[in-house]
Amino acid sequence: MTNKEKLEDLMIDILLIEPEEYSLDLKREDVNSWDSLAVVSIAVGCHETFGYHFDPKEATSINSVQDIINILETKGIDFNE
Amino acid sequence: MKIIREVTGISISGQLDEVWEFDSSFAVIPEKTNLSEIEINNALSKIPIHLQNKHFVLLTSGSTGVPKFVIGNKARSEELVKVLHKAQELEFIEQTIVVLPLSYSFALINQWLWAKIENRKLISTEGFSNATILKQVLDKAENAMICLVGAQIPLFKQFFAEDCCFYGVNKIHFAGGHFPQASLEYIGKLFPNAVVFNNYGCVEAMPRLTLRKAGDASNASNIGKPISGVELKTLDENKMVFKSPYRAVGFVEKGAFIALNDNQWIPTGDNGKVNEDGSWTLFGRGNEIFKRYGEKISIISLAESVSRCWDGGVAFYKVQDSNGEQGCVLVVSPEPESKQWRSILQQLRKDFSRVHWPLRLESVEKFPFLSSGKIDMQKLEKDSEKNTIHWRQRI
Repeated sequence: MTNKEKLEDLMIDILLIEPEEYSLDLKREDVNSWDSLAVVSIAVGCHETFGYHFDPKEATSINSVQDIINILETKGIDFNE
Repeated sequence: MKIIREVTGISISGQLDEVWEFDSSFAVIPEKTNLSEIEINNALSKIPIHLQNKHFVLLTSGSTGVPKFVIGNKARSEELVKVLHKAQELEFIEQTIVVLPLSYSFALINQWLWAKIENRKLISTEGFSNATILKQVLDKAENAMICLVGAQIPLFKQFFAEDCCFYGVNKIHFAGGHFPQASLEYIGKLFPNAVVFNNYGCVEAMPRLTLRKAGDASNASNIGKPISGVELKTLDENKMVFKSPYRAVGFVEKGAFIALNDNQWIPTGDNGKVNEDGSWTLFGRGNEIFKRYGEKISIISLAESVSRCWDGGVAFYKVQDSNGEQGCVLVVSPEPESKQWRSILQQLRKDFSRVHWPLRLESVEKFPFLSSGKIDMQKLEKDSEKNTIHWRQRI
């Protein structure tokens, strides 16, 4: 499973969205279940899945799937497999 | 004081017939109790002398798990049965089929006593402990009434074939927890000739306070209007209290007798509100409503949401999240397929913001049940590590 697929599974599970609702362009404003508690769940989920723990500033700056990818890529987690 | 103990497979209705006619009071002890003979006798010895005649005592552990010996008055209960009979515009009922243990106040008053006063034939069963016999009895029913708790509906689905149909049951009374409004279509197929009622009360009410026909409201939390003579109101934070001429006269709890007086407003243990038409909406047990991140969470509302897409059993127990905030875990039974548990989560997402969602969705093949037919929440929570976890919030 690629990191992109792992992130897709994680976001679908946390946000309780259907697979067809998910895309790499997904933004916080697109999903009503992406609230502040979801941000905490995303941070914990990324730690469990990718081994990186967002610091509070990073976590609160996340507003899209692309933001997550950008942060994780700076930590050496490859999304271009 | 005469003590009647319930034992599986042996009906206590004959013993009840006998002791009800005696002056001296009696006690009914359910089969499943952790109390020793000595503890029971000690508790009964605390009952004042003036209640040692013309009364009866029921042992309940309720939702708190603390044993409580609740004392009812025979004459008041007989009066309640007459009021219920009148309120329900009953057509001719010939039989009462007992599906719940008679140590449970709802079954004792709504089944055994009602049958006795109206000279109905009382047919005892062991409920779902012996589903084969239960089915045989229901197959042969003629103009019968039964009393159930909502948690038993999944058991009908589990034990009886889909095309099963019991034409001889004309009345069904539900009490003891969440009314299965979402299963009314199924209940209608299973019992095509039955009029269904939602009863609400508590053991201190001995036991009924309100009543509604199933079709008179569309949501499970509507418990109807108070029955004749009963007054209901709310105190702080929607805590429901009642006065009733049929209520219990006192109880023994933690070794002390506590009297219930005529002028006293007695807590039902639930929260709710009165509607414009005089009916009441139940928010749930006091402990089924809690604050989470400043939001008021109602377990009864969550249960209603789940029941829109899930036919099986539903229960919740409370846990704390990693921030120390109160949350709950949803447990369903039997084990759902992947598509089913996903649809439950989708329904919750549709109906509520995330803060209301349970922290986990778990399942068990079979719920543990109390002898009253209600889910044994203490056991469910205690054994929760055996549950299958389908989904969790990572918080």
